[in-house]
Amino acid sequence: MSDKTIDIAALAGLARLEIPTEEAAALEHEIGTILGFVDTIQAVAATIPAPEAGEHRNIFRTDENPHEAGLYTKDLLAAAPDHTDTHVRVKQVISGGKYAE
Amino acid sequence: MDIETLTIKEARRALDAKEFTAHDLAAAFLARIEKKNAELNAFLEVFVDVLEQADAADARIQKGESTPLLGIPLAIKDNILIKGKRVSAASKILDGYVAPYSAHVIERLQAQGAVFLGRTNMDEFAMGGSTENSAFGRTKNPHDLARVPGGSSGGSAAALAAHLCLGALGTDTGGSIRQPAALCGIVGMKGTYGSVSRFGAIAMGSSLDQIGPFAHTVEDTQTIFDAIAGHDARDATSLPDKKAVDKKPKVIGVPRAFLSQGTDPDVLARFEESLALLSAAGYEVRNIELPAVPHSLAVYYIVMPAEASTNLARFDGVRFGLAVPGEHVLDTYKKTRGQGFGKEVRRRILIGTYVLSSGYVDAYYRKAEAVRALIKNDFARAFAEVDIIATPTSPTPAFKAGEKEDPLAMYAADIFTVPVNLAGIPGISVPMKTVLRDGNELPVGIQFMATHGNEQALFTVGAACEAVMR
Repeated sequence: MSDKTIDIAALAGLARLEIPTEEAAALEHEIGTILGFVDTIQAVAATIPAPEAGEHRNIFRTDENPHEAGLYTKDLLAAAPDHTDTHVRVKQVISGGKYAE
Repeated sequence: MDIETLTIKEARRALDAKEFTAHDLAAAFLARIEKKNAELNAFLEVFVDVLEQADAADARIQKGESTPLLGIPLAIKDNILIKGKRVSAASKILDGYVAPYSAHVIERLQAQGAVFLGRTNMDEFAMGGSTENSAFGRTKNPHDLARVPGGSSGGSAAALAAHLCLGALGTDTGGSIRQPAALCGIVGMKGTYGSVSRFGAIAMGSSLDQIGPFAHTVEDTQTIFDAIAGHDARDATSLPDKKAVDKKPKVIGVPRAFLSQGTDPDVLARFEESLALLSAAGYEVRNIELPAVPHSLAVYYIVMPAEASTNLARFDGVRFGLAVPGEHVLDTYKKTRGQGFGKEVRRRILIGTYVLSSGYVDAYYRKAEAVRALIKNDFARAFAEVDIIATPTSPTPAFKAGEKEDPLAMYAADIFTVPVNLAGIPGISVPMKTVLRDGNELPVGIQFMATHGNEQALFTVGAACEAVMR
């Protein structure tokens, strides 16, 4: 698997990460080497029987006793780079042309 | 007061005996930080209210109160939240971020009246083993400034080793407390997975992360651990409180076949000498086999980046920290993350994205989890026969800054610490005798591991180890 070509641009897109073009070649080499190293588990893993699913149980706490609405709003809004009195403000999310291209 | 020999235990006695005040103690550490921090870069920020905190502790002491950490000056790694204080995980992406709440461990320490001196440098988002990956410059090892203090909690370790605090908190995902403790000549430990709440710690690898203490002695380490451990409903992985196992450890298992690979001969010699001393002190030392454990690093470098890339998805320039505006929201995400994260963080996010992506998740992440189960089984089998497992903490003493440019060479520094996180068991690093490099006596550490929930065995054998080293 280590001989797989790694498409850094595609991965960076999935990771929502802008990677400078001049870094891409070095990253391709380094990540290829690291994946080559971690590939050593393939031979060990091949000898392991498929794990059996355990008993399903709810690991989430019960949804009860919510805190008073608005208790943390001011603090959390203050942390946001751009906000109004009541909302976090973001750049345009849906744009006709941008994503159609 | 000689802060170069002071321990938490001795400071507690002197504070209670009114030989000095918490204010005097804090002022002494602030003066030393002022003198030493510029060359070490251990603290990223020294808090402005240190003396106020100390005065509050003095008021409690005056009323006759005493807790183990009342008035004790501690350093806190820069990925643990203290309400109203800046916290950055040593990253530009959290530029200007002020913690809106305190971590569970901070609440626990505040309840005891501990004094927080400041926040310490680290590898960005705890990714690294040398504290060279900080966006705010590298931390230096007090024993040799050309060398690294280890990492990722290198700021906390260097601060304590240079006597800029009496104890410190770090986080440990693959050895980030134990390895810098070894390289700086102090004690560092991580408890059982779930023993200390991570509420308010900036997450890296959620199936691996634990907060833990650094101190000069095993007894002081236990004092901090006892203060921060315990159930917290706000961390879904927090274990219920239960009575500690109290079985005196007698048999130490040593996986010699695993140790023979790539360990520095001097480190190995110090390790064998330490075992001989423990044996003379009454411990039985026995060879054990851990056949799957040598695969730990490969498993770790799949599981950790997968979890880290997931955890770090929340840093997007919308809710906190840095925002680099783009044309639209996706562009803002990419620019903010591209410019806010450092090189090692970007590398690990990409690896994590790769091993979790459709078509590869079975080949990498799921197989890594399967091999991780084998590693856990190795430990379970071994602990049926021995009470403690010992290895060197790090295969080498502190290396020179810039020496490990190759990521795989850097990752290999974690070979003995990573299995502990994968298995979720507790581990402690205690100083052994030193090794000589370039005319400097460099500290190295011995790591002890125990079964889940058996931290007491680590404190017992750790204290025995300290005693035989004297």
